[in-house]
Amino acid sequence: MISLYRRVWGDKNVISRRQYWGLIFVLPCILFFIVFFLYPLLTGFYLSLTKFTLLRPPVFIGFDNYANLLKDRLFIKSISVTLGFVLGSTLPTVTLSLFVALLFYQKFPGREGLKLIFFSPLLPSVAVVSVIWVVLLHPSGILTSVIGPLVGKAEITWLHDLTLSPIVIVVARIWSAMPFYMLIWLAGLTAIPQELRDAARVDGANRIQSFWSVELPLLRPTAVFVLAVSTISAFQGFTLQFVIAPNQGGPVDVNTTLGIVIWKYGFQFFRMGDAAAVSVFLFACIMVVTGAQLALGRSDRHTIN
Amino acid sequence: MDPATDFPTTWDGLIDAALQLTKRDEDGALVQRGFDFNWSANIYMMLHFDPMVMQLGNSMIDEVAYTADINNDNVKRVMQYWSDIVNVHEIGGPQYTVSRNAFNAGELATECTFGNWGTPGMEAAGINYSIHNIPRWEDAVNDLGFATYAFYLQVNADSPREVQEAGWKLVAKLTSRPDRYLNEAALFQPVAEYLETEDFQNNEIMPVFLDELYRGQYHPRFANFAEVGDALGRARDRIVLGGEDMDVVLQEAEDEVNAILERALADIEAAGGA
Amino acid sequence: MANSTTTYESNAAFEARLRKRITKLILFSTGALVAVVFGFPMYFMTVSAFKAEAEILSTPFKWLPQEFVGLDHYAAAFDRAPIGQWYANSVFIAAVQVSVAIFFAAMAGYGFAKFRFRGRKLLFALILSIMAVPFQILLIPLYVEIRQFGWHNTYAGLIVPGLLSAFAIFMMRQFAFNIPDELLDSARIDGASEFRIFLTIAMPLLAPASASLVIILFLFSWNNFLWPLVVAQDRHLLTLPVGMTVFSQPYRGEPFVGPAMAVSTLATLPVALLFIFFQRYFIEGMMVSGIKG
Repeated sequence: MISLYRRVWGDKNVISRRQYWGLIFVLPCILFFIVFFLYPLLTGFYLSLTKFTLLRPPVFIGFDNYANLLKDRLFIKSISVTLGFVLGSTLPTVTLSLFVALLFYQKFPGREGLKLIFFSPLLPSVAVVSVIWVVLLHPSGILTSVIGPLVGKAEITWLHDLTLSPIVIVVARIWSAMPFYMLIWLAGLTAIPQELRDAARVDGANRIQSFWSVELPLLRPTAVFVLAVSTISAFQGFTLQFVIAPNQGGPVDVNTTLGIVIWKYGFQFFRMGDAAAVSVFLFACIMVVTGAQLALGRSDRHTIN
Repeated sequence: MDPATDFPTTWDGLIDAALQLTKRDEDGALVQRGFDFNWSANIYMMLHFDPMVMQLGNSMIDEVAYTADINNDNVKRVMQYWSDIVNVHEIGGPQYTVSRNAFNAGELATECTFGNWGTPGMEAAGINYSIHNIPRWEDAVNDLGFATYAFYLQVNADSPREVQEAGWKLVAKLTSRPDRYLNEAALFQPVAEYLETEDFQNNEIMPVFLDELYRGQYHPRFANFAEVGDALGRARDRIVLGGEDMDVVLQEAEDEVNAILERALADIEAAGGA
Repeated sequence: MANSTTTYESNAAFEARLRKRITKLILFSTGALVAVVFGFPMYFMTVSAFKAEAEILSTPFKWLPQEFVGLDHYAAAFDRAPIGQWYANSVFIAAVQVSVAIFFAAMAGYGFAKFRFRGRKLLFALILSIMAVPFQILLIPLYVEIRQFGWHNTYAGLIVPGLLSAFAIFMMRQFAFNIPDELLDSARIDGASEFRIFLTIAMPLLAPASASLVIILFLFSWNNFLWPLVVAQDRHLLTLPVGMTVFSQPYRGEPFVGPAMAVSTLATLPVALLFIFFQRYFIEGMMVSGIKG
């Protein structure tokens, strides 16, 4: 076909000129992303070097905002809060979702129906998740009725207890995120050729041995992907802390993640320069995780085709 | 208890009344609270907590010098009062339904954040209410109640002459109908002539608010208000919920607020303001 | 002797069968436990919207409403807040963002996959880098930019920054690789213009391939919280996720948990329908995008 096409049009220049249609096709998107991605990304760095309250034009102050952040109590607190949220939610999510994936990978009656019920947390948005959990966590609500008798309390103030509050938010997060990671694990498990398992069984390995020696090593790319994605998204924890926690990130800032600090500095205190500096810090954190993910091996992107 | 005769005039009296009005179920869970502060927004640290401090002496914030004085005996006494409600008397706290909502739900007997604009909601909720002055400390040195929101109409003196003239015209227009503002929007314009009209004299709820307005002082007025409120709210929660040492927390809060105010002052000076 | 062997064998077979049964039973009970724990909050949401307010929080939990209140909580929710307006806003924003994103992503994906112009690699690297930068990083500067445009607190401000999706371009490029060159070249021989070829040949092939992409873009838009939170100020401009958070707080003396669950159910309904009717695409889409991540 190509040759026929060339014979008809003859001229090679036409073909090479045609390639520029590609540029025309991608141009609208590129222009859009220059305006709504590159430009804000760069101004974000610039704003982090300014004092800016929205009322008057930004004033360049060099690295003062960063220097101030080093002694900013709220910012320093938010680093430990964010790390706590990342570790607290990522490790259980990743391991428990693998466990559930292994469970639903087995054949047993009622499996499909139970799996669908397990998937139900995929449906609500984080805002809905937050509202539901506020109700579940009512001091004398459902969760208290289960846990309360064990500790002899009629009321448990889940959200206003400085220790319990971040824990229950992690629980809500694990609940809402698990099915997604289970899906990824399940896809990873399904991709392992049955022959490999059979071969291991022929060699006398039992189910558990075959899992450790055959399946787990093959799941490595999946594991890297799951770990990286869940870490990166936990670094951006915001909505749960914003809606569920009292006073946006409270009490006493125990749920004030970096995202909450960005919002608070930007939209409550109108310290845009400081908020931009926190954003740059968050960016650096996430780039470190992304870099680690790339270093640990190209992740399996589970593309459709 | 009869609110007309038994309504407490002192903070200590309020606790006694609140304890009498508090009802619990067989498990000990609160069914009805007698009194609670509004713990939801940090701004109440300026609107309610600070007036309680001012009754005893000076405000936590000096709005002229732009400095904070937080680690002192008066603040400690008020903080102890707030903390006791949660930790000693166990009759309230931030974990419960926000005070206004709880009041209209019939779960809270005494509420202290409503203005006159709250009454339509109470009536809609079928609450039989009465309005009283805010209690005072028995040994109060200043006679004042709580602060609420105020709106100012301002004309920029740097703007062109015709803009200023138009601005004043608008202000005159907006202040020409205090009766409609009060009756239809629940915004009170304390204009002398209006206070003498029959319309105002017949108003059943405004005398208490007007009385507090006469005696009170509107405070505070300073920049970076939200940030100061945030710092004070954090200090309160560290003490009340976290059980931290008051001396340490209040000193840290004082340093933090002083830094915020210093920054605010620098911003104002940079902008050429006074 | 022979007799006992048969007995022995059938015993072994019986034991194996028994063991298999027990394994299945253990698997089933574990699966059921997992399903109950994870399914409970959504069941709680759905059923509570039909319970009397006092019953919702009362313990022990009742699996069915003792006093069925019909649509009362739904009505109360619409009374308390402009749910209809918020719903319409969310639907409108999602519809515009998804359709525009699909069209331009198809165009760009096609351009990247089927043409070899100078700068192609660099531009595609830009698209990839967009996918690696989380939105929170852009929040402040994008907000400042939108204010400069005068788009703060407007539909334009809510919609435009989310009009195109780098992820969609990435996916469309993958799909476009599958379009046979012969098809395009024969159209060229017929004298069709490049743009016409895109519209009449590439687009119809790309559109069906993007079912899961459409679902994912819809979810991105429908669930978006942070951006509408900072851009929309007026009550009538709020989107459903942002607006509905008022229901996490009590309101006057009226029931609030029931209406909160009613609104939550309403907000989840479109997603649930997508899940029920397009389960395969839904799950595929989630997996490629890492949306819940």
